[in-house]
Amino acid sequence: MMLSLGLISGAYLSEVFRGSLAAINPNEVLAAQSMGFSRLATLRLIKLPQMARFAVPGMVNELTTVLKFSPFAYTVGIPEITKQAMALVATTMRGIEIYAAIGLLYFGIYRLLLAAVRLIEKRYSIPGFAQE
Amino acid sequence: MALLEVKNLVKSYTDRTVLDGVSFELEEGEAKVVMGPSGCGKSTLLRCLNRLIEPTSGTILFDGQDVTRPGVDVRELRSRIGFVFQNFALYRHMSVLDNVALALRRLKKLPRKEAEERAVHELHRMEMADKRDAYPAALSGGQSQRVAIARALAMDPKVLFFDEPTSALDPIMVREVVTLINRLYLDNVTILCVTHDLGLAKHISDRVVFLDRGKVYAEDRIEHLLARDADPVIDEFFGGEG
Repeated sequence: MMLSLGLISGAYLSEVFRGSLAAINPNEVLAAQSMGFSRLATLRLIKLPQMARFAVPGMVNELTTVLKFSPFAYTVGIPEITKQAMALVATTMRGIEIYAAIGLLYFGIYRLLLAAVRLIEKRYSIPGFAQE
Repeated sequence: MALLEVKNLVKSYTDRTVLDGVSFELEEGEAKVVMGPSGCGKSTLLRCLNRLIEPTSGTILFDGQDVTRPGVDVRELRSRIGFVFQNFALYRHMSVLDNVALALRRLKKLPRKEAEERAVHELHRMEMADKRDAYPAALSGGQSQRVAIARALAMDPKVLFFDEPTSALDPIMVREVVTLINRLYLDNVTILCVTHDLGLAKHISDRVVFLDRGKVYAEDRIEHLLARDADPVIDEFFGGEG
């Protein structure tokens, strides 16, 4: 399950990175090369810092997808949170409380993730860029 | 000896020849403009001269050195040539100051403080020092081009190449940029400028190299070219503006 989620996610993420590389203005790369920067320096100083910024939304999107699909792991017998909750409900018969707690847990995880992403976006945003 | 000597430069692709035996010279302190119809090879010429595009054949002597021979340090060559692009090409994730100081720090290996002082000096020269902390997205076209010129000047190049520096600007910004390039011209900065803009050519050039279909069709002072009413190629290009 981990491997399949990892492979699917890896494929999507590679597209995210390809897209963020394509979003870089080729003239900036040309300008760097015309000043005498090497390919490696151009990658490090011009391409990667911009790619990292462009890739954040897509990466977060993929992360939430992975998180969302992780409960399906129980279908192949992996004891993740939802599977444990189901077992607990079967023995205690207290479904509402247990599923509410699980819901709150997932909600909490997403809120935390969202807060972290907002922080990253704010910290690394390019001033005025969104207005372009 | 000329600072730049181009001899019989050819650039061919499989299906066409863009430059077909171009030769000209550029003296130190001289400002020369390259003009000609769209597709005549002007931008390719500039890019061949600093080896952003590999010429097919011909010789380029820069500062007495044959820069077309194998083994030439292309990056070192490029660091001695300032290049200003039509669409500014500022690094949009960096402030104006960092745009200008980056190459000084990373290529000239200057300490941050010294690089920034030099960058601020060049920004002052282009009247952009008050925008040092702004980001490219917040600048007008004219301001962006002035930063791009400051960035090129900061490396203290032997020659400044301009590739259509005013074609992405509105008329007010064109005047702004032309005035500043004219100031560089009066300061005896060596300039090679590709442009369609007759006003710019009149303000900054000693002589014009007129390209047509990859060849040097004429080389003369701008007023002499404009006076060639009977020449159909030149008359068609200038549209009777002389």
